[in-house]
Amino acid sequence: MKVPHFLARYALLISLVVLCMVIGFLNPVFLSLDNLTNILLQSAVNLIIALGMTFVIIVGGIDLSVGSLVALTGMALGLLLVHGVAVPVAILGVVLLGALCGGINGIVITRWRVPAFIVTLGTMSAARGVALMLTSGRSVSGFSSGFLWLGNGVVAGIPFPAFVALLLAALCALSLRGTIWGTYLYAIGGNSKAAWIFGLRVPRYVWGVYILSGTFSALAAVFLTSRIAAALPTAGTLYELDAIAAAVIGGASLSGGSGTVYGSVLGALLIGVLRNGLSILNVSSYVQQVLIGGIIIVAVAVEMTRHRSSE
Amino acid sequence: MDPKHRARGAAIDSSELALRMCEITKDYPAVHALKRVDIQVSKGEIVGLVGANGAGKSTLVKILGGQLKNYSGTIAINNVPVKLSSPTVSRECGIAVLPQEPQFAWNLSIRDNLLLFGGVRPTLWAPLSGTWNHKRAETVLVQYISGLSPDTTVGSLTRRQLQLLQIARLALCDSALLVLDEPTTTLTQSESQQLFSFVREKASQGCGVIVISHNIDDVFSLCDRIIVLRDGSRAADLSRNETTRDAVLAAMFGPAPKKDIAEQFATTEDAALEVRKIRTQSIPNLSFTLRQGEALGLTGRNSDATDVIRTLYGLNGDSTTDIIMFGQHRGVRNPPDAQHFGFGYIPEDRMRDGLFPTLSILLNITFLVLGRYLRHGALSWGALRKAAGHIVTELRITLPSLEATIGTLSGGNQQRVLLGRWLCRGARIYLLEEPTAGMDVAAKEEVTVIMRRLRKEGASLLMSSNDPDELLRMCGRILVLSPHGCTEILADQSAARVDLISALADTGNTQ
Repeated sequence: MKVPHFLARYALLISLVVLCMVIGFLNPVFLSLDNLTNILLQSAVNLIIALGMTFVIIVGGIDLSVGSLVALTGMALGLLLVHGVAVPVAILGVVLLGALCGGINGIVITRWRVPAFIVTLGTMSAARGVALMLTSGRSVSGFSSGFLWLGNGVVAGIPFPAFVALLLAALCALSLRGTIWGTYLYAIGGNSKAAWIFGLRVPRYVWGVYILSGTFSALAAVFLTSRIAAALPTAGTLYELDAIAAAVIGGASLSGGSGTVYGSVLGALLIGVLRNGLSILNVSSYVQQVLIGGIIIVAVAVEMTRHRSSE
Repeated sequence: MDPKHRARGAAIDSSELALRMCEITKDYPAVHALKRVDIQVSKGEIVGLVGANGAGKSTLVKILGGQLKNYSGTIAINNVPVKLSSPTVSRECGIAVLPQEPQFAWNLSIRDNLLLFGGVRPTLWAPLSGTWNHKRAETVLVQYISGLSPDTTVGSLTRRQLQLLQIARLALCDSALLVLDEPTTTLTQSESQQLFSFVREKASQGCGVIVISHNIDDVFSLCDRIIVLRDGSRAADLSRNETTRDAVLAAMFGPAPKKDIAEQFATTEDAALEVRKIRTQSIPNLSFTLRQGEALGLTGRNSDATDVIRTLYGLNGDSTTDIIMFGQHRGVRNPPDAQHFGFGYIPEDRMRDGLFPTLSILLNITFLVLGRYLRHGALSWGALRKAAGHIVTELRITLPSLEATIGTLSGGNQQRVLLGRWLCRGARIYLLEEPTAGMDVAAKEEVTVIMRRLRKEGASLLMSSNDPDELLRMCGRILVLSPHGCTEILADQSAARVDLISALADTGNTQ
C-alpha cells in the first residue's frame, strides 16, 4: 500500500528524474552542469507565466492572452528603453501595463460575465495586434549592458531569470497554501456558488487573479527581452499553451479548485527538459512538437485515471 | 421452463396490467430514496400517487422516465419486462411522462418540438414535412392551445401555455402508461378539467395512468385508486371509493411519533427579527416575527419555505430585503450583508451550495474564521487544527482525517461540518433549510440537541422543513405558507399535528 501511494504522490518528480536519466544515458552532454543550468534558464520565462496561470486555473478560469501580453509588454519595454527611460522605471511601467491588461481581462469576465476563454482569446488577438502596430512589425534592440544582465546574469550559480522564477514560485506557494487569500481561491474554484453564499465577494478575487497573471506575463517579458537582447512583436507566440500545459501536467484541473505551485514548477521543468533533451538528441523541432503534444495528453490522462481510482 | 405455461401467464397479465413495478429500490449516497416499492397499474386505470415531500415520488417518476438507470427491482410494461436505462428507452417502451418542469428545445418552434419529441421518433434524414402528421398535430394544437401559431418559438410561451403544450405532446403519443407529475399546479380550474377529461379519455382507450399530486382533492376527483408513499416505502394502497381524505393524510404522514418532552425555553418577547411584507417568487406578501431564543418553523408547498429563507439571506436576486433585526432596520442585498448583520445559513443542498469539494475538512470547518488563526499574516495550522478538532469532537463527526476532502464524508457528517462552520463563528439568527433531511434517526436527534443548545445560548432559529414531525419536535411555532395567506400553528397544543397536516394539505389546493 505504501509504495504505490508514494509513487503516485511523487509520480511527476519521478518521471522527471527518469526522463533526465534516459536522455543523459543517450547523450551524456545533457547531464552536464552547463546544460542543466541552461534548462533552468530556458524554462524560467515559461515558469513565471505558468505561475500566474496556476492561480487563474485554480479559480476555474483560463488566460489565453499571456503569450500576446509578453509580446506587447516586451515591445513597450524595448521602446521605453531605446527612448532613454531608466531601466527600473521602464520595468515598473511595463509591469503596470501587464497588470492593466490582466485587469481588463478580469473586469470583462466578472462584470459582463463573458466566459474567460472568449475574453482572453479576444485580448490575445488584440494585444498581439497592438504589439505589431507599435513598430509596424519591426523589432527593437540596442539595450544597455545593465539591462542585458537581467536575462543573462548569474546569481549563486543560477541564471538570474531562473533565480527570480524560483523565488516567485516560493512566494506563490506560500501565499496559496498559507494564507486566507489562497484558501479562498481554492474555495472559489471548487464551488463558487458556495463561496458566494458564505460571504465571499467572488468577482474581486477572480479579478485579482487575472491582474496577477498579466503582471507575471510582463515580468516574463522583461527577462525574455533581456535574454535575447531584442523586443520582437512576434515574441511569446504559443507561450499560453506551454503555461497551461505546465499547470495541467502539474495536476491543476481546468474545472477549477485544484493545482499547486510545486506541480506547475515540475510541469514547466518537464517541458523544458523535453525541449532541451530532444534538441540534444537531434530530434527535429517538428517532431518535438508532436512528442510534447502527445506527452501533455498522456500526462493528463494518467492524472485523471489516478484521480478516478482514488475516488 | 414450460413455454406453454409462460405464454398463458403472459396472456393473463397482459390483459390486465399496464405497469408492474416490483421491489423497486433506489439508494443515493446518503439516503434511501425508495425501499422495495411495489406498484401495479391496470390498463385503463387511473392511479393517484401521493406522499409528503421527500417520500420518493419524484425518484419514482425519474425511474419511469429513464433518468435513473441504477435502480434495482423489476419493471414490466404490458407484462413485457423492461430495463429503463435512458429516456429514449423509456419512451420506446410506451411510457409518456409529463414532468413537473417542462422540458423543451426552447429555441425551436411548437411544431418542431411536437415533431421531435412527441410520440413518433423521426427518421433523422427525412425531410421534416414528410414525417409531420399535419392534420393530427393541428387538431391537437387547436384542442389544447388555441390561438397559438405552430411557428411560435417555445421559449416565448408562458408557464401555463407550456404546460398545455406538454399535454398536447402527450396527446400525440401512443403510450401504454401515462405519468403526470403535478400536472395542475400552473393550470386554471377549467384547464384542469380539460386535462382530466383528456386523462379519462386516454384511460378509456386502455392506457394506464399515474397522477402525482399535492392536491388531494384533484386526486380524489380523478383517480380510481390512491397509492401513498412515505419515507420511500409504499404506506398504503387505497381504493378511492373505500377511503377518505383523512385516511389518505394519515397514511401520508404516518402515526404520530412518541412524544418526547420538548424542553421549554424561556423565549423573551423581544423580537430578534421582524419581517414585514416581503415577497418571494410564490408568496406575494409575508409578515412574521421571530422572537429571541425561539425556533420558528416554516413549511408549505414544494420550495415555498426555502424560498423565504433564501430571500432573507439575500440569495434571491439583486433586490434589497428590508427587515428589522434586533430593532434596527436592515437592508440585506447579498450574503456578505446577511452575515454581517448576524445571520447564519445552512443550505438544503449541502454539497452544491455549502461545501468546498477541493478543500480539506479542516478548512471546510474553519472557513468562516480563518482570520482568527493568523500568525504574521499566515495561517497558523496548529491553531486551526485545534479549533476544528473541538468542533469534530463536539459534533461527533466521523472522518478519516482532517486533511481528507469533504467528499469522503457521509451526508450526515457533511451536514455537521456545515453546522460546525457556523458554530466556530457564531450567528445570532440561524436560517436553516431542511436541517435534518437525509439523516438517519440518531443523527437527527443529535442535530436537534445542537439546535436546542444554540437556543439556550440565545440564538434564534428559523427553519424550513417539509416534515411535520420534525417541525413539531424542533419548533415552538410553525407557519404554514401558501400564496393566499399563512396559518400559524403552536406546537404545544394537543391538536397541533392534525392542524398542521390539514393545513399542509390545504396548501395544495388551487383555491
